[in-house]
Amino acid sequence: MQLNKHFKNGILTAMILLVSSFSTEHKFYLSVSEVNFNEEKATFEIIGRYFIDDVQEVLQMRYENNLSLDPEQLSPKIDFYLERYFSQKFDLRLNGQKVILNYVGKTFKGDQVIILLQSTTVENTEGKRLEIENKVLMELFEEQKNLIHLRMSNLKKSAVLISGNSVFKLML
Amino acid sequence: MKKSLLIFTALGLLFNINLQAQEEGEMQRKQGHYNQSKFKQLYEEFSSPNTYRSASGAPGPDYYQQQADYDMKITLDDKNARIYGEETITYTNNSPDALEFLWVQLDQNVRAVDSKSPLRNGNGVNMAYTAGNFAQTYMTEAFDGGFNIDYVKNANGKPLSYTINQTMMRINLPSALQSGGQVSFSIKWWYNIPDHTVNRARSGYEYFAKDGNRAYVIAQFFPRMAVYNDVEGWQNHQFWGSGEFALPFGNYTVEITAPADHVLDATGVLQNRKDVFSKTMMKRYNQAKKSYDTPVMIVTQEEAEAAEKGFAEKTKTWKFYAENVRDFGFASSRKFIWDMMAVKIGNKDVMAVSMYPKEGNPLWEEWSTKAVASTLITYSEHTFDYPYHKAISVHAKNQGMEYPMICWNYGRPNEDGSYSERTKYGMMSVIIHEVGHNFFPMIVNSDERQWGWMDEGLDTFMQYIAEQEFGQAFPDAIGELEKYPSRRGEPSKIVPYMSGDQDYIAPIMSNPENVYNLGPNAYGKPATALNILRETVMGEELFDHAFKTYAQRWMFKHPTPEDFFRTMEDASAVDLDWFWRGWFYTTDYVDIGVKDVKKYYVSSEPSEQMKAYMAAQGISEADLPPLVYLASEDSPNFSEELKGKSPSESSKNLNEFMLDNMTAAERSAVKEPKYFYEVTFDKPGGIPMPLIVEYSYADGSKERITYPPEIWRKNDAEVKRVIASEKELTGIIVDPQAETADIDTTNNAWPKEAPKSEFDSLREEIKD
Repeated sequence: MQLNKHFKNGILTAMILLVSSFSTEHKFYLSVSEVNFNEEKATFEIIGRYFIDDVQEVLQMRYENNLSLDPEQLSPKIDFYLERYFSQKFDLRLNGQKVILNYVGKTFKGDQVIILLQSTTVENTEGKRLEIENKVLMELFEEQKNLIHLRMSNLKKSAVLISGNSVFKLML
Repeated sequence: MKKSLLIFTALGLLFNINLQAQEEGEMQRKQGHYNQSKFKQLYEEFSSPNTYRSASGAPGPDYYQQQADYDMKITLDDKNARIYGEETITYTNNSPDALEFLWVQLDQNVRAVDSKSPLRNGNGVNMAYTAGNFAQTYMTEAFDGGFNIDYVKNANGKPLSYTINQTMMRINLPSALQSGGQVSFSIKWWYNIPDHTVNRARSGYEYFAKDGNRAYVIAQFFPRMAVYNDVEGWQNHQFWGSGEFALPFGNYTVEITAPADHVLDATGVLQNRKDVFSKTMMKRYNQAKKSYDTPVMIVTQEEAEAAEKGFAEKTKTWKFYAENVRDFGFASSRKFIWDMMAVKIGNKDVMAVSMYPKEGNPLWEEWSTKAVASTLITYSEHTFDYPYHKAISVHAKNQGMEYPMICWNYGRPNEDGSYSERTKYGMMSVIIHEVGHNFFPMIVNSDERQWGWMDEGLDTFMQYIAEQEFGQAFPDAIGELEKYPSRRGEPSKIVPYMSGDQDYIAPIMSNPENVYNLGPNAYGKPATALNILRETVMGEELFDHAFKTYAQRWMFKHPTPEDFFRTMEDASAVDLDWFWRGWFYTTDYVDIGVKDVKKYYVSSEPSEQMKAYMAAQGISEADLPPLVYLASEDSPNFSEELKGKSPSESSKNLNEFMLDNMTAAERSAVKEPKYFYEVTFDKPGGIPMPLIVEYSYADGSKERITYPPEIWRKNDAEVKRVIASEKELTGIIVDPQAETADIDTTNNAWPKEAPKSEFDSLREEIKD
């Protein structure tokens, strides 16, 4: 038997528990984002990994029918649309207040597109309530699961976000 | 010569005494222990070799295997999506044991209404359910896909007693089947065929709403004999869903009756081609037998599209005979397009075959049959010539499943015929993988129910080689890429799994039902381990010979993991117990680094340590043979003037020795290293691996040294090497080409590189 192509790096244990018995032979929709707090710069740095064809499909659906995210033949306006899409679907909040995320750019690895986001400088996170929301691709695939790995100094936490439960909340 | 010997002996002696003295001084007496060496032979993990299975890893003189021959008449009822069968099993007991009963596998009972398979998972309420999954689990009546057994009869037509325990049926023989004896019995059965796209089965149909047709891929569909052997007795571990199959070899005579407008292919040689082929098909088939580079259409897309508009009431019977196979599968639909091409394997022709509905095009007509042919060539080179006469790749949505001579594969273009790179390479890879399964486990017939990795791991390892060779054989297939983009095989790709949470990793040597993540456990990790074994530990020549030996020894037999492990050593003279232990029996990972580099200079003065030793022994330098000392920059026997001098300038003893023992010519030719370094390597990871080191020198030159894994045999945590060089050492990198799946490379360099965050290096990539 061939285990599915959607099986990939970074699949977390939480993920494994969610996946029930027969699912290994079928594809599932998944992304993995690392949210790291850079203490020196006091910014959040986010590395998001998504499947190229999934993201292309959602961009086509929302913006232009023939948009291409194929690294070989990128549409000229692709960064414009990626920035627009990710600013709507990926959110960071501290004590309920939105942290501004800038779109740094994209790069490709195999069949994945890597999206970099960086927050503006954040003052004192201690004792605050952090919320990370990632709704990317959920409007397209009801089974979409977005994994978050959060790393802040000694803190290491992970969560699986799904449609209807797309916010990861914790006290810092 | 004598003198130098003396010096070495004396030094050796001193060193030993010294160590002892030190240890006694600070000793806190520890308890004794068993042999904990990572290089200890696997006597405790392996069972003792015996006359069935030899210590070499080859079948022993008393090796035996059972034979199960089948004579079956199958009817496919397309209208009701049911399948009916009458089969006669002739079972030959080649074991030395008398068998009171026989076990027959009823795999379809995993889909019975009362199946225990869905009850085996204990994860509680999910955080959330997809609507589809929720509806299927809690709101719809369970699909009844279990076997209905009409009768079990003996050869005289008398009912035989039987007992069904979930997916296993015990045939209660009236008298024991003696060693060397044979028994025949018949079973009549039927079941409802599941929609494999909904029920997530390995077998079933896909329904095409647009034209109202079904495409069937049918397997593990008939009661099949369980394996009886010297290691498991009866392998009657239930089929829960993850652990696949264990099956004896036999000969199959099978007649399948299907709607007359269906196109059908199956395991085995078609016996009545003239009855079921039209004249046109026959003509094209004869062309295909002579076409070695382009597939010939037996049924064209146009013809298939015409056929899918009808629905034949009449039937047609296809007759197959398959010799020495462990299973039987077939695919049938009026939607199938069918193409074939010949491929030379050794001195005979094999047919590479593809069957697919139009929904698979344009991808399938272009690549499927070529991928089949290329796979057979690569695998045959590394194992044995593919012994069957054909290999079929059938397109089935979301499927990737293997049977003898036939397999189902995914990879479907969008409705408008466009497809992504991911779909294309996914399709090619799954075809290579599933066709490759003909070798493991269809011919090298390992027990999948117990050891998923034995076929999946070996096959995924071979898949990597076959993919790379496919990319070379068909450059058009990979377009602009330099090489085929394999998903598994390269060491770096297994690092995320091996560095993951240890609470959710099981050793490879685990039953497939009991691992947390079957993909990396049974596919990715063993495949990567074998790739590393081939490229880095053994070398291709030794590995390939041993791997081929294993395949040929166990071709058409039932190997165990030990037979594989033992053979790889037996045929190569490479001790691999440490490798199997680390990679297969534990969840250890590889992490090796460079910890410290210390500079030394040759000195005439003894070190503090040496002086202390002489004082303790009450001896002076005059009592000792002439000795050479090394001084580190922070020790008292170091002085600035030692820098830049050659060893013979710094050490009178060495100078004298050279004058006495070497001719002038020898002295002028001698190498005098000016730089001495003691390099400490540490190993936070549990797996000992070859220590691959690249040394860089001030003149820009580089030197690569691979220390064998045995360097870790006496100290599993830390080892030291002395580097004597005429040039200054400027840098050290451990595992410079990322060959070992080292999970943490931040400790792999000296001087330590300031670690750049992944974010920053990706940001730089974007700028470029």
